[in-house]
Amino acid sequence: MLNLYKVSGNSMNPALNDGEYILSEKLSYLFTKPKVSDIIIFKALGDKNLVKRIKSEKDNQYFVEGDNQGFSGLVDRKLILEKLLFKI
Amino acid sequence: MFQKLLKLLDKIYPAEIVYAHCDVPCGIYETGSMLTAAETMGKMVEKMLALEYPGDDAEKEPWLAYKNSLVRMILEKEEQGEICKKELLILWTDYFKPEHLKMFPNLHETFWQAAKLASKNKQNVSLEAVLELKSALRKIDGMFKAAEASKK
Repeated sequence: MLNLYKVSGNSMNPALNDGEYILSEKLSYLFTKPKVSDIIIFKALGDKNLVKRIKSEKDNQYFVEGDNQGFSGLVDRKLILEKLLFKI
Repeated sequence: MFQKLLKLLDKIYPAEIVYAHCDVPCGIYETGSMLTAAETMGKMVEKMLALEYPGDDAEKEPWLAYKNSLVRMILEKEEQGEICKKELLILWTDYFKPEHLKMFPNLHETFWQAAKLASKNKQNVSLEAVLELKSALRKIDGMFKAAEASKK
């Protein structure tokens, strides 16, 4: 239920920095919906896992964005895998 | 101390990477790259189909020349397929926003199908598959242009 990831890239600066390790969990999303301001890990096209923050939600479509505005896009609920617990 | 231990652990048992990249930090989006990639894939398919098979009992030299050309074409087609999928991902996840779903209710399905077709073209040597991919990409190009026009 807990996963260790290494962050690659800077779009989540200053919350997460390139090369940092984070711990995430998937249990809470089995019982509750992801909510605005959650930092999530989701599956993108090409089987890459991305980490972004939820900015808004409508009809199970989540609008996610990097904290430094470099990235934004829509993610379907089914593609959201885990919630960030904390960085190590 | 803990960080050092973590890095050591990462070397022994590497942590999965999670990407926080800014694919297009400058906010410039375009459809030309994916269309060109599909065109190139089409050219490679044409060339592969036209490549003359030297025969099972051919001399070493023509056989190597044939193999060399074929492998180069396959590699190019593979690479262009990846470019096509990457460009689709950037447009899908970065450019299109929630408000675009009103304009294009089938946006997700269209992108999904186009990405699947890019994969199909990597897996096959088929002019028909190339035409299907080009048609899907033109549809997305049309959506992109309509979305751009709606800004003005």
